[in-house]
This record gives sequence, C-alpha cells and structure tokens, in this order.
Amino acid sequence: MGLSVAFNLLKSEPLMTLRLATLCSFLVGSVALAQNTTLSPQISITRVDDPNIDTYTFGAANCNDTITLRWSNTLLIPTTACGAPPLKLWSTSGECQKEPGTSDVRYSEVPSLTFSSIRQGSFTVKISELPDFKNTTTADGGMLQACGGAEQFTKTHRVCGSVEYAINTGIGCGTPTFQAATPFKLVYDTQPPTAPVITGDTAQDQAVKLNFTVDSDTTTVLLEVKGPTDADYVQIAQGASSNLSVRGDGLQNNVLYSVRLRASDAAGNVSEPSVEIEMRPIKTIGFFGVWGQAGGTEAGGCSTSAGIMPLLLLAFAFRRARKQVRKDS
Amino acid sequence: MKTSLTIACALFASVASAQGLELSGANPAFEIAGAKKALESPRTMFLEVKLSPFTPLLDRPFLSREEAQRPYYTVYGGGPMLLGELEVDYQFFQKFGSLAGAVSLGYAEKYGRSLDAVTMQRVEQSTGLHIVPIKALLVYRFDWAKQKFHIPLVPYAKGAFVMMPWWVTNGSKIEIDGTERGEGVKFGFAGVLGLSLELDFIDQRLARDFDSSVGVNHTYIFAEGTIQEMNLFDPVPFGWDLSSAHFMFGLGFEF
Repeated sequence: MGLSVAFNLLKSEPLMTLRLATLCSFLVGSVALAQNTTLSPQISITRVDDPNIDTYTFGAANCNDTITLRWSNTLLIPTTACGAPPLKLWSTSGECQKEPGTSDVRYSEVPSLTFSSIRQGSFTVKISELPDFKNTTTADGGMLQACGGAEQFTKTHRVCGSVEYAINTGIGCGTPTFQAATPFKLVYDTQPPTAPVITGDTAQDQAVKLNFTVDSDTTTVLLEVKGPTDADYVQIAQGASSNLSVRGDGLQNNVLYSVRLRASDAAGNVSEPSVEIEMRPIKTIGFFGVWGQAGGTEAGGCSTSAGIMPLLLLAFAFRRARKQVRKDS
Repeated sequence: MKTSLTIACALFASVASAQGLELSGANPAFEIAGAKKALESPRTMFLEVKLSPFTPLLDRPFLSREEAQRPYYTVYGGGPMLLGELEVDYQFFQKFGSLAGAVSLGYAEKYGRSLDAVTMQRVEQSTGLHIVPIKALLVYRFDWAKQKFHIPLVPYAKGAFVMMPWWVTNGSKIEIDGTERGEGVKFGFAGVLGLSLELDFIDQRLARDFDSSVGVNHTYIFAEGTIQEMNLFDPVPFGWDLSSAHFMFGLGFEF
C-alpha cells in the first residue's frame, strides 16, 4: 500500500514528492536527534570580559592580579529532587579530576538552585593564590618556583568545575552521573620566545618589508631600525606572527638602515634580536607615476568642472518637473 | 515513531499530489494562466547583481606607442580589472515593455607591481588602481512578448550618466606624483544593450513560491554590452581616460 502510494506520487508529481521527501527526512532526522540528546549540564568556564577566550597567559608583572571568571551552564540540569548537587570550582596545577585534590585551591561552591535556574555566575581567582604559587614546596618536599621570581619558566594551572547528579526518572532517581566543566587555563610564562629568523627582505618606498619564521610561542613580531645618526634601535612597526612578514614605513629613501626583528609572546616576553641586516629604502613609482612619466596630463582631483554640468541640468529638469506638477495640481 | 512519521508524510504528499492533479485536470490551460497572472504580486522594482572583466581605456592616448611603453600595459600587463556592480531600477511605465529609472554602484580594482624609480624594474611593492562607477540610468526592457506570449527572452537598453571616483595607491597610501595626488572623479555617459533570460520556465512552481513568499516575480540571468565614454567633458590630450567597452554578466530579480 505504502509502496504503491509512493510510486503513484513519484509518477504524477516528481517535484512535489522531492520537496515532501526532503521535509520528511528533516523531520525524521530531528526526532532521531532529539531522542539521542542527553539532558545533561554543559558547564564552561570563561573570562567575564571575553567569553570566547579559554586561556589567560600572563607574565611576572601580573602576579598580584585578580581575574574574574564566569561559569555557565548551557543545558538542562536535573531536578533537585534527586539530591542537591552543588557545582564545585577549584584550581589545580595538574589535570582536572572529578573532585578537587588536597593541594588544589577551592572556590565557593555554586548551589544547585543557582546552577539550574540562573545558569551563570562569576567568581574571582587570585594569581598569587594558585596552587603552585601559594605553596612553596611540592608534596614530596621539592621547591616550587615562585610567581614573579627571576627564573624563566612556563607553568599552566587549570580552573576546573564539576557536578555529580542523578536524573529523576519518574519512578526514582537514576544512577549519579559525573559532568566536568571545560577547564579554563591560566598560563604563567616568563620564558621569551626564540629570536625570529629573517628569510627575506624587500626595500620599498620609504619603507622596508621583512619576511620571517618564528617559533610557535610567538604571537607578535617587532621591527626595529637604526639609522646612521641614531644611537640605538627604534621599534617602528609590529605585526602578527601569522602574517609571516612585517612592514615598517616612515623611513627615508636612499638612507642605509640597520634592521632587525624581535619576537614577543602572549605574556609579553620579548626575545633576543634576530640577526641584523642593512637595507636602503628606494624611491618607487606606482601606476599614477608611470602614467605621469609616460606623458599623461591628469591633474587629479575633481578636475573636470564641466563634468558637473549634467548634474546641474538634471537638477534643473527635476525642479521644473516638480513645478509643473504643482501647477497641474 | 520514525515509521509513523514517514507514513504520515507519504499520505500528506499523496493528498497534496491528488489535489494538484485535480486542479490541472479540471481547468483549461488558459484558466490556469489567468489564475497565475491574478496571483502574481505587483512588480515595480528590478535588482541586478553583475560582474565584468573591465579594462579602462587608459592606454588609448598612447596607442601609437609599443605595448611595453603604454602605462596600463607596463604596470598591469593589459589585463582587465574585476568590476562588480549592483543596480536597482524603479519601473514607472509598464504597458508596451517597461521603462525604469535606476541607480547603480560598482567597484573595480587591479593590483600590479610598482617600479623602481631609477632602474624601472618591478619591485616587491604593489600599486593599485581603484574605481567606483556610480550611474544614474534610464532603462527600457522589452518584456511585452514575455508577458503576453511567455517568450522568456527580454532584450533591453539603458542610457546612463556616469560618475567615476578613482584612486591609485602605491604601497598602502594614495600615490603622489610630484604635486599631484593620484585620485579624482571623472564624468561621462554610457550606453548599454543587453539580453536577459527569464529562468521561471525551469521550475514554474518554485518561481510562483518565490513570488508568494518573498515577492520576487521573475528571476533572470543576463548578458549586456556597455560602451562608456568618460572623456567627454573638458577633454585634454593624454588625459586620464576611464572609458571602456565591456560585457557584464549577472543575475536579475524583478519584484
């Protein structure tokens, strides 16, 4: 029966059938998707001022900072009838586990009512009180490196969150399920990146352009120049490391400059300078200059005053037409 | 659950299909055509989106020289710019064809290498030519045959007053040659002849849906030839000449 209906349909109205088949596939797919979706909390921890960032990289100058983080729960939380699970929040120097460890720093727990109804809130984290900065020794008696100390090192802390809950199945409480938050990373970094390697240089009009390669830690490349009368290098430009080239202008043509690059990372650590090279900006001509050299006589600007005439004529014609309409009415 | 939903969909489809068959079987063709026309929403506007390989005749004053000594050829190799244009028409006459007033805005750019001022060799610095054609147009579309006999071809003609701001960059800045800045505005006229193909015949039901849901009566693809003369007012020998003869291709929506 179903087959014969489908066959007749296909024969008589192929386009209509195609549309309905698409609609049906969509509906069936949606139902299947809904059946497979687990109603569990989805917890994330982000910065209050930028929810898209899940990592904060900082240096020695930020050791006394306090940053405000936001926890949020984007999906449903089970009813409190099966216990009242609070959301636990803590920072750790290792990986996030189900529960905070003894050396981890705990933050105030979020009651399940807040967690399930308001679904977002904020808490503060003091950099100086992160586990490896608060403690001076490790569990086995070793010495920890201090925040703001002279040593150059990189240390990652994670801010974790977790909740253990059970769903009310209607006939009782189900098995408790553990749900972890996506951790937020706090990266202490006092290690400067390695110096950039200059792979190409181009002298331009009152400018220089350098191509480079950098290590993965580098986020920004700084361009420094020293002219014949300068006592030291001056930074004249910076660019994102992903561009793989940086251009600095404001230089004088036909003057010999010493040029070098430095790399900078997200925490603001600056590398040693690259190898320095000598460059001399050159006078270049673009299309307008080539046009002029060929004998072109364009003066630039709105040079053709006569060109305004058609506009004036149009305005005049429009005015007359409006006057005529007024007269007729 | 999935099975019952699928069966329900199939049943719904068969009912809809049966209704469609009954309509087309019971009514003569002219009645359907009449009903379609009555169902069509009023059409007053026409929107065109188009692209063109556009080569301004900047080398025209230098045609007596060898190609390598002509400025546009030297810097850009003589290749066309890519021009994109958006045009909106308002139809104020719709009896024997349609007559419309229109405005259009476009943008074209082309990049080449700058030259070393001493050696005249190409260097690793770009020089860009940018043009923004702005047009006020009068458009006549001969769509009478399409409306009356459903012939899907619509020839048309346009006349335009053109204003063309332009600028040239060397590196990242507007180029300055001596005391002259590489920027300005040119004025001129343009004439256009084109032919558009109405696409509604591919799926008439979809076309009607497009009208009833969005208000777009007809959809077209078109090709048009443009001749524009931008050096009419205050011409000077070896002047900056943005005139051109070019083809444009695009999509049109009548609504």
